[in-house]
Amino acid sequence: MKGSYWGWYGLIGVVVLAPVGVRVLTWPGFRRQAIDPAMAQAGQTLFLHEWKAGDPLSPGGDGLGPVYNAASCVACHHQGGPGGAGGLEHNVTAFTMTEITLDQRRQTREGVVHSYALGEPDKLSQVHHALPAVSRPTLAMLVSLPGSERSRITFPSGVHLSQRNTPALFGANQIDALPDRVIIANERKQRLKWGLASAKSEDLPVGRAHRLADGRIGHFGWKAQSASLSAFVQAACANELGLSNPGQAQPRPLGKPNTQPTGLDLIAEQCDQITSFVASLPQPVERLPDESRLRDFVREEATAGKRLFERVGCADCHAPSLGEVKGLYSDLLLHDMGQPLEGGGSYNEPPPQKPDAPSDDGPQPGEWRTPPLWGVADSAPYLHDGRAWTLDKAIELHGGQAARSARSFAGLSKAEQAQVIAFLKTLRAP
Amino acid sequence: MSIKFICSCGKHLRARDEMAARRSVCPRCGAPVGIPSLQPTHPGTRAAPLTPQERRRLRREKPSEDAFGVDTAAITADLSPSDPLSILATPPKQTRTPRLRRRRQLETRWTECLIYPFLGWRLFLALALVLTVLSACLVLLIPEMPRFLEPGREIWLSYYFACLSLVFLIAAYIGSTVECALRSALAGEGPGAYWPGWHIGNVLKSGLRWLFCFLAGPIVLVALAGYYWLYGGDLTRLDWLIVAELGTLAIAYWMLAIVATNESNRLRDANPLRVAQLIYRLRYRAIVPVLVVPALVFVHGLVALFALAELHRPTILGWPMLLAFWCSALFWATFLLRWLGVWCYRNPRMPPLH
Repeated sequence: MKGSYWGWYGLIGVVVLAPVGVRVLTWPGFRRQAIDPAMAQAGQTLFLHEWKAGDPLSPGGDGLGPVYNAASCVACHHQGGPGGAGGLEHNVTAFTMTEITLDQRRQTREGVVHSYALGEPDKLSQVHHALPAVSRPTLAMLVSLPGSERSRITFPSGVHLSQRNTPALFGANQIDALPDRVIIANERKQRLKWGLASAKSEDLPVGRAHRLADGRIGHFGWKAQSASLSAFVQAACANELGLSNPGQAQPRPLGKPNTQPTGLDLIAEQCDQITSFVASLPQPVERLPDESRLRDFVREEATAGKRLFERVGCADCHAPSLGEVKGLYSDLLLHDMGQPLEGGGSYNEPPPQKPDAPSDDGPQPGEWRTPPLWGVADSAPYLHDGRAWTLDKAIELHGGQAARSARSFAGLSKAEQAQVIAFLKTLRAP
Repeated sequence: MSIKFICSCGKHLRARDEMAARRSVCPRCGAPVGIPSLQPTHPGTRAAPLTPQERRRLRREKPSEDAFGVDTAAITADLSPSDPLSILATPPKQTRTPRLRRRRQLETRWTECLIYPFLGWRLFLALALVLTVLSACLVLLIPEMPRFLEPGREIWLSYYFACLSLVFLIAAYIGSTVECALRSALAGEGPGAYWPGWHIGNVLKSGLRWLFCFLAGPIVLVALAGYYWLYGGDLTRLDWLIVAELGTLAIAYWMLAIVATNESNRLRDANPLRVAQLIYRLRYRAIVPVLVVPALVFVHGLVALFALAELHRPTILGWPMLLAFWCSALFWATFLLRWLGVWCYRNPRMPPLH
């Protein structure tokens, strides 16, 4: 009789412990992508290559275009070396147009107004007839910049235009290797830290991970719209250079929406090569100035500035470390940055959402992924559209969930503010 | 010195020490009664203190009262050692018949234990209100914490320590109040509005007992569950099952450890062996502390999380939800501990065999 009891106890134990055993065996770890030097070398060639229509490197497709923002990857990603950030001249103009259909449904159209085209370039008037017939709009035409004499374009109802500045790609392999669970853990920690406040909070820095349709978490892009480096590279190749690839088709000119693509401009292997090259880019570093007479002074200033950076609350979102990635200064979460920094639009159509997700689950116009601050000293101009030329100005323009920290920064003495900036200037491209 | 005991008919009886562990007959119902041994089979438990109303009433009536609040004035029988079978009932030596306090009998069915929380409803409602305000203030003040950092770390630390002490004191008071239901049942006292009163020492002792029972095991399981929830990514059903298992084990262990330590009045009984023994004694009833209680905790936890998150929004929904949560939580905690206490009293632990 006793033996049968022990059998039952054993059975209960196995049933209770079975889920733990299964989970231990399937626990995802930090898997950094192994880089093949030959692939990275080939990728570098493609990264530096200046594409043209009917390019020999894309025998299956039409090469560059029909619409594009630059002729090569390095044309935009060049600050501090290939793979770095870019200037205002290569900003991408994105639009969002929301219409109410006859059956009272909200219909949103999103896309990019490309700077160049093989034929007639995209014009703002092709987005909405009330907009001026301007191609290559400058940032000053879309946002009110202090000191700018040009007046901003008045957007018609339901239309919003914004620009995206070129982000740096250094250390992208580290970000790519971060497991989703690390980003989600940060999301939960922020909620706990701020008394269970929701990510829709207007003033508390509670971010949220961008969950894509396949359940993965967005790691890359201003709106965290790409879950992996590979997807990010493929989207950029298609949208910035007009190179169709297995991951994304090339965009069509706004004036000719029925244009059919001829074939793949990049095969999967070429995409992998570019991804390998980007993954091989080294991680940015914390570096003091080279002049020996300044080193001690700057070290003291930067050390004090780093403490202030955490004290005023910058580190709430620009977390110094994320999982095993040290010195990232980002939580990779979407944060509401307030109305002045709103910017809708994405590449082509709105990104697909999870089927069971609420209608407002996608990134909202005011939500931006916290950009990693590693290498920030070599990535001016700042903010998503490059409207801030200096770090001070960038901090001042922080609103929404970051307004509290911006106010704290403004409350510091000039000397203390200089210390924070001195610290940020030690975050250099490799 | 005499042995005091109560017949199953409710008659309070008294016998001389020489009659210990012998049999006799009750003068009222005529049924044979076993006179208790002088060597207790288990250490027994100190009863919960009386309410101020009860104390005032007893003082007015001036009955003789022992340390456990048992009314000895009503004892009417004296058992003679020379003739064990003859009962010489002696009338009480008092000039007037006091208006005896109506004492309820200890519950016999679990449904009767449901009444217990309602007997002290004013106290429980007041506690629920205090807890609602406290938890809401904590959640709303957390985002303002950085402001307290500004003046200096020392001030912040003292503020933090003061807040923590206040929270512990209130939590200890809640624990002590709920524990009164258990301790009074373990002492065989019928239902009444037992509460810790203003005995801060008892309150702190009770709080420390709850804390010790938590640190003696459940903390490991809770830490594991918390870590897993935090770093497990978007949890699948399998992951939720693991978190639920860890939480269930922690809550069940904590509750059983509280019962075990209260039953024996020894903190060292908050060990896995005693908890296992208690489960073995409870047999199928163990499903209540092992499954029903954790299920209740999970449901209440969800309501609390929703209510606390709602507090950050400009609606008042969070406040009534939080109050309802605390009322419900106090009701279930009191009822379940009462039920376990009554059961343990009626099924005492067997002494170890030598």
